[in-house]
Amino acid sequence: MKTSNPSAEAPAGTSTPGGGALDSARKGARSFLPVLALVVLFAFFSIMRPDFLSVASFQNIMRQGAFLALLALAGTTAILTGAIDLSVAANATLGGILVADLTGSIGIWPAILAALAACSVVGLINALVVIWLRVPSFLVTLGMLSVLDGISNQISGGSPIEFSTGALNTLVNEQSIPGIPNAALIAVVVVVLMTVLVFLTRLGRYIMAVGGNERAALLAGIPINSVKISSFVLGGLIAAIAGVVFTGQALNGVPEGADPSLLASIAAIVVGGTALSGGVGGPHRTLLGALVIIVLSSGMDIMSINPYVESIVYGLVVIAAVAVTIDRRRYGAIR
Amino acid sequence: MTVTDTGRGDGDGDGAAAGPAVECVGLSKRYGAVQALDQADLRINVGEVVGLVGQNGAGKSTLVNILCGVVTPDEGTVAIHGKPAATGHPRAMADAGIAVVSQEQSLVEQLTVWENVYLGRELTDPHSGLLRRAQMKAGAAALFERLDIGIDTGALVSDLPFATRQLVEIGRAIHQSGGKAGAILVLDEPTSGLSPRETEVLFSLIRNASKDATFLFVSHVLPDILSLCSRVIVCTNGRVVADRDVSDVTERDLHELMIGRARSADYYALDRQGTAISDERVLELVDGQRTGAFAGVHLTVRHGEVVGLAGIIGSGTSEVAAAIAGALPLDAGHMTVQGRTRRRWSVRDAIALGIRYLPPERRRDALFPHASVSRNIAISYLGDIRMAKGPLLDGGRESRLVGRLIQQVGLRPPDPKRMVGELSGGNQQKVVFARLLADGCAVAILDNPTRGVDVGTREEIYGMVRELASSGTGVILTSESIEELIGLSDRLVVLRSGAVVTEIPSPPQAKPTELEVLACM
Repeated sequence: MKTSNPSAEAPAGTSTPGGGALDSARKGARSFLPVLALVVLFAFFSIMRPDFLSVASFQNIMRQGAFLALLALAGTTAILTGAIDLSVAANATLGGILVADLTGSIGIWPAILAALAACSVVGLINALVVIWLRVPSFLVTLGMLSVLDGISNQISGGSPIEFSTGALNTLVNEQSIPGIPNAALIAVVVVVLMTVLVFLTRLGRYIMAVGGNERAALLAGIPINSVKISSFVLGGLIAAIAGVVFTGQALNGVPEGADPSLLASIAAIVVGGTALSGGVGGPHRTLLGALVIIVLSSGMDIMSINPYVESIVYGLVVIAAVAVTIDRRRYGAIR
Repeated sequence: MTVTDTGRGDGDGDGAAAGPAVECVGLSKRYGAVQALDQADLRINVGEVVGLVGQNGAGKSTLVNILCGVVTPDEGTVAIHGKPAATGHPRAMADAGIAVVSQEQSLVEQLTVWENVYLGRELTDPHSGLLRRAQMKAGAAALFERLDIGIDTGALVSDLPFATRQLVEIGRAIHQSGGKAGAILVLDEPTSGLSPRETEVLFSLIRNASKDATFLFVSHVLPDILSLCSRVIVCTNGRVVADRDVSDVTERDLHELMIGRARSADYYALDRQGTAISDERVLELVDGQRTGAFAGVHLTVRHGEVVGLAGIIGSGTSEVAAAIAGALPLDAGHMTVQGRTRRRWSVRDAIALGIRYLPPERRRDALFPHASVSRNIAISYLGDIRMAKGPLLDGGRESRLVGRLIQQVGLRPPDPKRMVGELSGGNQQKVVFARLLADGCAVAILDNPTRGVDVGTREEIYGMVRELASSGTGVILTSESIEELIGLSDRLVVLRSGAVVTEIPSPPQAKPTELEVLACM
């Protein structure tokens, strides 16, 4: 009888070639590309337009970057679990509208608290529908986007809400540290807190695990439904902060105001290297991605490129970034 | 492609009138460190019904997957009806005439039988482009009449019982390959889930159809093979070790051929077996029932005991293991673990009871491929690696715990930062094992712990199983390999069709033979 030859077995510890190399390449691309993109874009615009390096330009980048980073951070937790929240921008709009609407009657801080609470509840509803009705999150949150726009328009009567903006203006636009608008400080604090949460707490590990392999997370005893709820609620909470910053920068409550930034925020997330398939990336990467997008957008502004072209560029950037980061084995897109 | 026609010239002197329908020469396939298929030759003549047997992991499924184009062989060629086939291309293999009928049926349930038969090859009117429904209906009816199977071809597939769908699938495969001996049907475990009567109907269909088609019949059920096939091929350890006429072999011969090489006693660390068994039960499953999987299962595990669940695929071993782990809820029955009784429990509840689970397919069920070794291990111990105060995790505690576990399981290289998706199968399994070892669990459920693992790692895993048992953990084990199950277990519980049929003691001095165990399965 024939026997198989034990020496034909490779020693344990060798990694499988093909798949491993591809993973490494994609991992490398994820860490390296956003930094490279930032450097290249910066150099390019500085050479094309030396005034890109002016103080005003930097302040502009910080202002716009703060809002976009916050909005993108709001969407990051859901994406890390392998879901997506398309209602973040509409949720931020709602938060901003509530602040504008309520500041006059109850004061700025109660108004902000109300916005935080309302947007968190929106996140909770999103999560519960995803879990109970087993509807894909992109559909649930797409529907929620429309619902929230309706509510925002209802509250505002369809036109911008004027209110006494003094306190909010101070909170968002003053420079507690000279040269840096408070909005940017808020964004940095939120990035730091989120990064600590994702990497150094149990909830953060659970979020990454659910996104990395939901079935494995379940079989490892992770309470996956609570994790999903937490990630959407956290997203709602940060969306409210983004909304507060938006209203503070616009200095009135604009219905559908933050909505057009949805695609840019998703672009920021994926350009940073967070994979839409989940379990890979993190809030710190989202900050990097937001900077890339904002440098791109301010650079195009400063070069007086048609804003319609900007929209085209965002769209292409999202598609390219997804192509680089997504885990095709799990999406089966190639088949 | 440099493949030449190998089908004609080598003069095997075969008795069959027609030439070979399938001829495989020198097929090899390696997965990481595991040689799944090693220089396998296979020849099936037109109109033959050939059986393919072997233990799990012997290479059968790799061979089947190559034939249906899902797996590309590292070496070797496949010729179909004398023409070299494009291996690795499912569509090309299907067009060449190979169809696989497996447990995962490929019928569209929302369509009728005749619509399924003509699916993708619908007949249309050349002028209007409309479907020729009447003609297709008549064609499907004629097909099943010729196969002597009474089926209402207008019925929705979703309304048909499983066994009948199996027949529809075979009928469709014959039809779509154009009849006239073109079809080569690979039947992968077609009788599991069928009653004896249904099996008989299936067999008569195969006998009727063998004038129109060629069959490769893959099965664990040796009596089925012997009654249906004219020839049987035996795989062991990735090699074709025998190719016999069924008239020349008995069931016992086949068992012996399938078992293959013998192992030395110390391979399974028998000197360490059973040292810690106490009389105290750590787990008892009473009347466990899950519809469609198992019923009336009574199982006890004592401290330090390794209980092996033996049975063929579909016998319920994996399902019982998953149910105890909380991954599949019971419909009836209850479980007592160290005095605490539960009727329904989740994976989390099971963990709280002291049960740890090593699921059957690590990539699907256990690993986070894009996360590091450290993250993958620590996910089960996050409660233990928190800072003394506050919600944050303590990186120092994490790296000490993970470092210790990596050493304990012998991960190579012992690098906690490496991405798990980049590791070999054996090292990945060690990472999963590390999740069970740190906190002295009451019960460890190991569902097929050595699947897809190289020989060296296998031995290390045997050592870990012994270690778990000697620390007092009760171990529930399943395995693709009967030999391994006998070697590791203190007691075997044999399941057949979801019911416990017998228990066989397996002490180190008096191990049952594989034939004894196989005979019960």
